Amino acid sequence: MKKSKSDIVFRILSRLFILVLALSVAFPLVMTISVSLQTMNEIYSADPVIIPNKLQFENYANAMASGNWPRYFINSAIVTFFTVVISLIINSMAGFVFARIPFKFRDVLFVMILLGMMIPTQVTLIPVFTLLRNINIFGGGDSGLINTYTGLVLPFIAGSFGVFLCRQFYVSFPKELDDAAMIDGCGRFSTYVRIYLPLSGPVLASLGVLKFTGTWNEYTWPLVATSGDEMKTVQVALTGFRDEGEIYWNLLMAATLIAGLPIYVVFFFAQKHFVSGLLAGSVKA
Amino acid sequence: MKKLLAFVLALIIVLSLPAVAEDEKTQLSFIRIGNDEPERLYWAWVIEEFEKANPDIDIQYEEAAIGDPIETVLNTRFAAGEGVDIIGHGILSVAQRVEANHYMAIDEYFESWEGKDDIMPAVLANGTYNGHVYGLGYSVTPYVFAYRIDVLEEAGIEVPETWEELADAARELTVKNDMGEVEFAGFCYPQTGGNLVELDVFVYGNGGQYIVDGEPVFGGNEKIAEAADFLKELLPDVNMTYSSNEVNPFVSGSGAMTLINNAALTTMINNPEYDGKVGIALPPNNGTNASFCGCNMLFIGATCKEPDAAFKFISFALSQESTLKRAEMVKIPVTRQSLVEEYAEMDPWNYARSLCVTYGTGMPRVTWSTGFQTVRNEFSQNAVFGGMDSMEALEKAQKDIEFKIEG
Repeated sequence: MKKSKSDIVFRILSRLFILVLALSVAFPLVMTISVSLQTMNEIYSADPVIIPNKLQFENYANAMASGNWPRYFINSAIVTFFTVVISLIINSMAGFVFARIPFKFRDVLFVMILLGMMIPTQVTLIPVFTLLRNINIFGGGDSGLINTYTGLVLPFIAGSFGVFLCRQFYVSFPKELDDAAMIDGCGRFSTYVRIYLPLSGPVLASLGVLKFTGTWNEYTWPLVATSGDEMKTVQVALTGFRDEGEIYWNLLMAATLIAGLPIYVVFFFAQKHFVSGLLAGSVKA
Repeated sequence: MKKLLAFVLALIIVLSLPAVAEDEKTQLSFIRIGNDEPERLYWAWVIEEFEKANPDIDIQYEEAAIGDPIETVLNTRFAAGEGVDIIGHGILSVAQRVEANHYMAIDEYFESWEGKDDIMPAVLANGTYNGHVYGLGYSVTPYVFAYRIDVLEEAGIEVPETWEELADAARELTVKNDMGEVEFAGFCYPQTGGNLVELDVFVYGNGGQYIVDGEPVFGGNEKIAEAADFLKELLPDVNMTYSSNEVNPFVSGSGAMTLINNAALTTMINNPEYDGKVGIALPPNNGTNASFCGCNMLFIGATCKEPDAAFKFISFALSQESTLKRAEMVKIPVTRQSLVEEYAEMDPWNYARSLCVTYGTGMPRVTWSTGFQTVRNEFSQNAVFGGMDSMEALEKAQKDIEFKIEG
């Protein structure tokens, strides 16, 4: 079928629009890479520099030499790993309960959990800090769980969004599965472990990817709940390239790009789960 | 499944091993504003030397970046009742945190401190509030008058000391293109920004004040109006538009003179291209020697259980030896009068830097200092750049600040 003139114009315009959109999204990343390879004099130059005169790869080495970066990466990795693993277990179990086990006030409780999604982290910062400071179990010292890995992991292992995501996923399972499992002698817990969990790959992958990026990028809680260099995470450490007079943009951009590496890798291998996680709940179960 | 649960439980217990070993020493927590490497190295040196001299005291050092991070950490700690023993923070924190009962008055300690009569009065003033001493300055960031030696010499112009000389020099050094646009600024002055302290330098240099006895005095203030009118007349001829949050065109080599934070000048001074071409002086004035000078101070937290030990650390950090070491390591002007000569020997421009500290005034120590910042910036916009009559702009500023104070 021959395309009309207006169709062709529309296609050209829409592609141009997409191109402009793509360039505007890519530009900050290009500038981040460019600035990470510039000298401070180039950054301060009156004429903006996009392609540096000489690529300053040593900025990356200098950025990593400024502070105890291996320690920061280990801290972030430990916190992220345990947060993701434990949160997947807790969220999927809670999601299963809300989807499959009828009990009194279940819906009210679920709505209350959903309300948690509307409360910003800043509001709960001080209560959570006070709570963890006064928990002296699990090896907490005078400052409770502040400045411990547990203190960094605990507030993020159960989240409203995760429970919601899992619940929505399990609700779509046919009820006959539960009946069949019961006939075969499974209790509630057994049904969850033997039937639901093996089928939970997609939702756990989506939640895992979102939890991973969220935890790796978390800034405020590690800032407040850690003291000293030993417990710093990468996001908190990134603020170290600024002093009273100026910001060392080249080092900051170099460190930012390195700090984001785990995210790029995870996103590259699991981007379909990332997108499906973002779309979760958009269609009524 | 029981095995899985047991595994998770075991992990949690292992993970929660205490981060800090407890011992019999006096533990003092110390947080300072900023987290740059040179400062970190300096404080590591101070703490190491202090702990060597005082083996019974253990300093637990931490830092938080300027702006929201430090405020978030402190607010959370104090709201949770934990607090911090020693706090390194800026002038803007003084009134608000004293009123919030976060800082302890240290008058008694100060009276018996060996450096009491040696600390520069302008630096000491930053840490006093309602007649009490709360903080002692360790880090000063004066605004200096920076100029291009080569450009001034080529034009045969002396370093300006008065407003008139500044105006004449700036006009002569400005280069414009065929369109009449400034290509090389005679005097670089920010049009916008977060905190336009450059205006303060001119107001103070004219003998003016924004606040007297804790009350705002914008309305009908001729000294402020004169400063604004001087800039209003001069800047269109000699300046190029930029924000104080951006790189100053002077640092990029596009200006002959400017007012700039001493620390922000470091990159230019270290640039071989400008080697020997950048000079520093006290800002030109209209009868009163003046500059703006930021200051970070050491405070004792109101919740501190060991204030004697905390002040021992503060006095160690502000000793002559530590202050000189700091000037060497961090390139920060000294805060003690007796050290100015030694500091000047480190760099020929250090004497001018010290002058800017000596005559420097910081942000006002009032609970409404954030509101003051907004109103002063708006006044600058209206009177210097916006075409509003300066007296009219001052009346508006007075009304605005009173509204902000009343809440």
